[in-house]
Amino acid sequence: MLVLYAVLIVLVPAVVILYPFLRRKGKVGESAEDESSAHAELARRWDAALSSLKSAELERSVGNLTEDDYQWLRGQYMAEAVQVMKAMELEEQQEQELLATIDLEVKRIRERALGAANGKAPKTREESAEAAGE
Amino acid sequence: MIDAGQLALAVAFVIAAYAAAGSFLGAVRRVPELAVSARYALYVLPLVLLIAAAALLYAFVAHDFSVRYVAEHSNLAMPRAYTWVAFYAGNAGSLLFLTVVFAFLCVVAVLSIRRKLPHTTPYAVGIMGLVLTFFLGIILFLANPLERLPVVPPDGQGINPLLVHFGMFIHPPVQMTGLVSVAIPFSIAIGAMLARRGGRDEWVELGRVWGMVSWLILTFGLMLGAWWAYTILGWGGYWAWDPVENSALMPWLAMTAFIHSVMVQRRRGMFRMWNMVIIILAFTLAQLGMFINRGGAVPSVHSFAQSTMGWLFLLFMGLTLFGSLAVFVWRMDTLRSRERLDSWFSRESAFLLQNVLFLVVAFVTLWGSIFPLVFEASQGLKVGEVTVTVGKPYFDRVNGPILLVLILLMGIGPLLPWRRATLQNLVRALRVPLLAGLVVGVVVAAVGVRAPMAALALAICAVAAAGILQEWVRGSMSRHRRGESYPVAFGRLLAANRPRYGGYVVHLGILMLAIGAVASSFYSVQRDFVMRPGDVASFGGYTFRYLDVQRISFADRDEDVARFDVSSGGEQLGVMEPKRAFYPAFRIGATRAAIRSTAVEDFYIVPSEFNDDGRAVFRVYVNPLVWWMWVSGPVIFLGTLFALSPQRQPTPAAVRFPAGARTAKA
Repeated sequence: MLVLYAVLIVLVPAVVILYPFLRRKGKVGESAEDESSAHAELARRWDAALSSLKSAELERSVGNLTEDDYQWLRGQYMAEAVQVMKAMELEEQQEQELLATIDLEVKRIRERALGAANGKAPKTREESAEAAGE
Repeated sequence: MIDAGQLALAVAFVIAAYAAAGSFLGAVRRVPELAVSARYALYVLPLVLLIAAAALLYAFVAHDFSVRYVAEHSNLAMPRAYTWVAFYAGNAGSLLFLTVVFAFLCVVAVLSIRRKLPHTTPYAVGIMGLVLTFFLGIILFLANPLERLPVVPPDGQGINPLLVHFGMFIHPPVQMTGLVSVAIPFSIAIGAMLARRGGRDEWVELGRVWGMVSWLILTFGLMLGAWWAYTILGWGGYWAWDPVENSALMPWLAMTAFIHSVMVQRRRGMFRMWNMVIIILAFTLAQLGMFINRGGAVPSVHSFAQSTMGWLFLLFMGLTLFGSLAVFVWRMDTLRSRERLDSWFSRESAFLLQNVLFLVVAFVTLWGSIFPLVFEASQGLKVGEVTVTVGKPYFDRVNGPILLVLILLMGIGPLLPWRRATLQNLVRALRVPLLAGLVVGVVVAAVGVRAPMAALALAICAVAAAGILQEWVRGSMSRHRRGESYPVAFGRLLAANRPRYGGYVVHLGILMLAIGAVASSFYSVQRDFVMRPGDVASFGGYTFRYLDVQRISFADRDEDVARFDVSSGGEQLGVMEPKRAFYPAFRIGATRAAIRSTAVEDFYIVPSEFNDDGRAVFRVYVNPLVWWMWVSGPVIFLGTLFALSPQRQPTPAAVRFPAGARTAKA
């Protein structure tokens, strides 16, 4: 019985640990290189820039970010998105289309956050700030 | 089974060492297969460790006294339910326990970061692997819980009676988990620095999440420990600034500073170096906590799980501190902040001041805790030759006022805007909370609160509470004006920014804790009563009749159970049964207080001694508002969970990363 335990305790971890090397030889499944490839890096930077942009918009719409802060953050995240697009070597028209879809998405978030049902946005910065007590 | 456990420990040690070495080597040499293989090693480690843990549990359940640890921490009379407590009652078992828990935490942490932080992950895995290798090395070579005895005793020594309490089912494991969990955000932060990503802020969100997880576990460990002390140690209090208590408080203070200051980095790209320094300090203090827990070098009421191997923990602490500071200096060029402080009247300035004060409290506490060691060393004394302790008055007098300022900052900091506040901003944000504080200060003085510090503390708590309520009311009213009902407006307000509003809930919990601590510290009263059965006494508005005492013998102890008939203001409150037990095998007594707890005050009776002539001595306390301290626990827990809960953000396919895009310059 002890021999069986010993084999299991040694063999199972060994197989798991050696799997990435065996997989490379067989060329099966996801490549270990994927997570550090240039494409993965750019995709991650792209997702991070968009996510931050949407988050900043949401915060501004409920009054947690002042207009100045929002514009500064927006500039930072848009610059990052543009940098990623350059690295992707997109055509100019594709870049323009992507930037336009970003703007559209940000606008949607703003409308959703401010209550798209009645389409009313805060009239003043003070009112906007009150939405979250900024 | 025991042999299988031994083998599992040895295999686990090798796997942990491989995870550490393979991950670093894979990252540095850019061999992805090696880094992934090391990560898989980390994944498989908890399963191997579970075999060792199962072997020890089996030995306890089977009363296998051939295992030294089982013989030392259990006996035939021990109820099976306490097998769980016995598992970590001693040094070796508690080390195995925290290694298993840490290994599981590492797996969850790595799964959560590996896609978002692909460059940081291999280094983080390497650091986690190093910590695991250290623990497993100690277990395997110095404190093996599966070590056999040459001669098998017929029965074991039994479990420490002070551990036989419901609180012990959860307090020690939570406390140990809290201390070791600080290694997770530490690994992520140092991993980011090693990958030259410390200044790029990608690690901050996940560092904050794991920082909060660690903070929550540490908070619960502290609160459960306080509750255990209050109900079982029988001195009517919950916090004595004992070195072991302090050892858990210090990393908690540093982690509190960290989870606040990373928010500034997340929002403004500032405090990048500061955050690294804080997380290094937090991990160092957590390791110091483990040293104090196990070193035995500092006198403490926490005598369980102590050993002479604490110095190894101190050595490991020194090595990791030196190593992480070296990495910090090496990568300092990548940690420049994106922005500078615009004004001292801003939220980030409040966070910075709060950070500094948290660290001051941590170092005041550290100095009080290690002073006995420093004194012994300076006098050329051997450890333990002269018992020197630093008492509660030192900590209360130095830390008390700083903690009050921290509560004030907790109240007004979140009300300040980012970047800079104008005079108009300040007046608008602070007028209601300051007015509330003033009113409460006057009212508590009018109703008879004469201690200036107590009145000030309650007024400061009022400022903080009013600030939170003001935020909720203003936000809800603003949304209500746009057509939402008040409940919907309030719910959506909270959901719109969960970290912020979850944080407010946590702050409310902290205020409940602070109010309980202030009231019970300043207005707790106690008196000793010598009574015979039938005697009646009154104290603090309560009348209590000592009915009788019964001696009940158990296999491991003799219990004297006293019965009191208690009433207050003519209302019958029922029978209370404080007890005192004596454990012959350990030659120690343990008390169980009888506590009648309400939101206003606790009536607390604890027996001091029972004499053969029928007289007994009881100590009676009336502790105001302690109930609020225990209720604050669930509030803090729920607030933290809310702050950590993922916020849904729509991601339409139209703006997703183009799948077929070529990549020229990464």
